[in-house]
Amino acid sequence: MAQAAQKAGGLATRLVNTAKGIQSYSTPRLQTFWKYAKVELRPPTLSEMPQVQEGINNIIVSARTGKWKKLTVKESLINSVIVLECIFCFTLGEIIGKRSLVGYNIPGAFYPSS
Amino acid sequence: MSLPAPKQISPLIRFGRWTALISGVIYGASRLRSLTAKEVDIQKHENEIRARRDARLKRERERDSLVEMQALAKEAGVPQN
Repeated sequence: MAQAAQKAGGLATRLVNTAKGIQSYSTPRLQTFWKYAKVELRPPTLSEMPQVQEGINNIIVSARTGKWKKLTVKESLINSVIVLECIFCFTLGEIIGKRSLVGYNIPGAFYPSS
Repeated sequence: MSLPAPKQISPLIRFGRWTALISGVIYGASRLRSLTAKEVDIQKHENEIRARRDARLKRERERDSLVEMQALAKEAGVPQN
């Protein structure tokens, strides 16, 4: 009985210590993540829209006049990776929108039980 | 270890990423809605097929069990009428 009470007390303190450990480990790392995300991942503000428009015009003009043939291989590789990243963002958005990781969960459709 | 300063990403790239993300969310949600709506009609059609198939299977099972019981009765020597 006394041993059981001691074990129960031990479990509570161990849970509290685990929570404290998680908090102390994650807080500085989350802070560094937020420090970078605030600058690098923020959406473009209204004041930056002219630059966006200019960038799109540059792409259209270079596609029309054939300036894209004068890009270096390194630049074109970087551009391809950026386009791939945008496609990944679209897929991530689709996962969020369909609320399932793989495939659409339609109620009533056939799901083969594995 | 000192981490480098956060890098200024061009607004065009950020615009592309966020547009792709939001349009992906809209695409996923709208496709889920349209597929769920289509599935209602498909399920109605398949429920009819399932009802017919279950009735057929029940009939066949009862017929088979009747044949089995008659064969068993013959083996057991029950007088046939």
